[in-house]
Amino acid sequence: MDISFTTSPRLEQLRQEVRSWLDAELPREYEGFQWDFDEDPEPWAFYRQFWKKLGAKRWLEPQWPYEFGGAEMSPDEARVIQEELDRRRAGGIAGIGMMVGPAILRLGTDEQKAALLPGMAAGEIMWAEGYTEPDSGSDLASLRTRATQDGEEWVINGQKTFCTAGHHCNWIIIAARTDPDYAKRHRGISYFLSPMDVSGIELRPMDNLAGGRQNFVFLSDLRVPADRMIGALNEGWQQVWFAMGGAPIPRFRRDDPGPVEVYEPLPTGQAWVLDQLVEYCKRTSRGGRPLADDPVIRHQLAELAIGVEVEKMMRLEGACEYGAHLHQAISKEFQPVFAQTCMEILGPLGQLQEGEWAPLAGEIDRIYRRSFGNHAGGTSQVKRMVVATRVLGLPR
Amino acid sequence: MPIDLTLDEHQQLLQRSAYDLFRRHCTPEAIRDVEADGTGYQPEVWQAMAGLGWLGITFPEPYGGGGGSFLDLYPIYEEMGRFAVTSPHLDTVAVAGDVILRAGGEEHREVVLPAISAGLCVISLATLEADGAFGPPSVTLPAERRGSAYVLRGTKLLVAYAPAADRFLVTVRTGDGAGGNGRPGGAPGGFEDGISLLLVDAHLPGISCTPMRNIAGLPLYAVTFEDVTVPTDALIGPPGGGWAAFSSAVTKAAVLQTATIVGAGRRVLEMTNQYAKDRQQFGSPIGRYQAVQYLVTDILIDLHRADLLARQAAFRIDAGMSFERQAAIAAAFGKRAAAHLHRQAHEVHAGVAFMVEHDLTLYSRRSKYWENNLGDARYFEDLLVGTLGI
Repeated sequence: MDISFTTSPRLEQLRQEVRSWLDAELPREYEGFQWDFDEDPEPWAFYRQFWKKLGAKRWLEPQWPYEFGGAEMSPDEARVIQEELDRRRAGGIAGIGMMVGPAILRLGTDEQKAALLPGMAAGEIMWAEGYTEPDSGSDLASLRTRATQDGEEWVINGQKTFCTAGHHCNWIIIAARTDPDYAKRHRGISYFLSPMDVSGIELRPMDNLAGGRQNFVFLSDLRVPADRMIGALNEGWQQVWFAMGGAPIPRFRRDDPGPVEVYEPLPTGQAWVLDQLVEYCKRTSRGGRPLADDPVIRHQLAELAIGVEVEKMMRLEGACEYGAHLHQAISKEFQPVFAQTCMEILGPLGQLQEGEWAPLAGEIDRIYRRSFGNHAGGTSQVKRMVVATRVLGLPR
Repeated sequence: MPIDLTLDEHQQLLQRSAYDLFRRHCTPEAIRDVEADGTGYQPEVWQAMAGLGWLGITFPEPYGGGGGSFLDLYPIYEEMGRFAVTSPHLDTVAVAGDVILRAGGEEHREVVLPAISAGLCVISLATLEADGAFGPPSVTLPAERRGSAYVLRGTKLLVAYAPAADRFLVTVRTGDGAGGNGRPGGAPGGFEDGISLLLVDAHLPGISCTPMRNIAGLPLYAVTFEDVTVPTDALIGPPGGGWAAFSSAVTKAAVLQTATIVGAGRRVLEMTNQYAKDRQQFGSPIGRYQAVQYLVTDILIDLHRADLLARQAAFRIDAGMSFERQAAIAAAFGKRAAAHLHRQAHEVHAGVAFMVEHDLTLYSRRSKYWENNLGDARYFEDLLVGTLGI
């Protein structure tokens, strides 16, 4: 177990800088926005500008090289920025850039890096997800979208689905079968990068439970130049998928050790909710008794606090010896439990979405609905299967 | 100072030595023998631990200790858990030693701590009473002041290793403080106020021990004090103000109890994982079935979380940071995890571990003691919620 959390005057200076900047740039009413669960045009308009401002500060991809719009920061510095954004519940940039970025950094050609990374770091490129298909979710290697070569271009045909916020994005990463032999499964998949505003891509909306819009994506004779393939032909699964699946960002600069001291790690977004709930329990009485004195409520608050602490510690632990899948299984399973326990503490009024009678202004309703989106990036069952077979060596 | 939950070189060496010592002496057969013969622990292992410096590892050097850190104890407790070792270490060193060090007078520290360190003094905690709960409201045993002595009358329950004890650390009501006799209604200053700590010679006349047969197979006793006269210099800490030091020591020790649970969990995971690979049903190892994979991974998930939480608490104790909240979290979660992971292990083993000769039963029975010792999950959850400001 390798966990260390330290701070230094330099890190704290950065923290203060980010904090002051957020005080100036992020009005309270825009806290709590999540691009994957929100379609209200007003916060969307605000955040499109906000992400560009963050990019201009080089804080959107702080660990990237300067030439691509980053600041070559250390993981510790990047973590400080993220903690401050979380502290203000600032929504992260839309799309799956956090997965595509590391893939381009690792596998991209010089031309691809130069063409795409600066736009990403500037908050101008947002990536849509183009690998999930109606019949290929957890079993992604069974996907059927085809790409065939036509001179210097690839022609892609097929259907993708659950493309979250795809209509807000301007680029898409597509997984397609480039070897017609389906029996090869993993060994015949390649990945392509394409702008969205071209002919051959059509979106059809599907609304999710949490208030976001996902999309069917129909690919009809979509033409992609050959140099927009990322990774090697037919090796996309081994190369791109794993580069996207949580491989750490390469380090461009070593940490400056400097004088360090212990600091209190900042909690996750769930801790913010817990704080609100604790306040609610202090000021609310039922049947003449403060909620805070109800032993059942106290037990439930303790369960929430324990779960939140585990999330905080896992984030600090980073990649643990058992791999990211263990953490993901824990987090994914905790999300619905967290939401349901919050609901139980609120009781019947927890159903309300807005208005003067809605506790916490309806926040728990939103959390509850979002908690059913915990499959994004792989279901908890798949994570459990990976832990069972790869970590514990149980038979497949 | 960086927060670093990785065991340092010295602690890794400790872990290795503990593993070697317990593997040699604390085989499942030896553990079963000890359980059967009633002493409940292995004096030769106690002496070996004294020889290795583990009984005074956290005491300052002037008191015969090793001047080590709290985290030094962590690997030792983990390995005690792995081998289901029974030992008066937690009562004697982690709780009584800490209370004496922090609240005791110089005369206590100079006499008792070196004796503990040398393996010459076993101390058992005598705190639980008839209502079966851990915590200030449940401490009622009166110690009436008569001249230069206290007279104790009453019974303490679940006192571990009582016949082997040289001293008892007893929580009593001396009539001092606003909490007075500890009865509800008479405690404007809270139930904590009025609790005193007495370090009582275990061989005083009027003390009797009755064994309490229990699922863990541990030597737990009802210790009755029948007008036992204890000199007032047995008092540790201020009269009526003993709970703070006791509670602090217990909360820290509960982190070590979670380390025990983590170590035991590692062994239980090994057993369960191996069984799931070996046992064939329906023409396949049962570990291929996802219903079984969920049960086995539950154990890993439980112990990984408990380990993270307990190491964080241990680190904060060493760093001189506030630790009550994190220790309460580690204890509350550890205790619930102990119950859960053993249940899952039994689900996988099914019939074979329903037989008493199966080693899993050593752990699942012992777990019930760990879950309840020094406060149960409910106690620590309440402590935790208190730190949230309600």
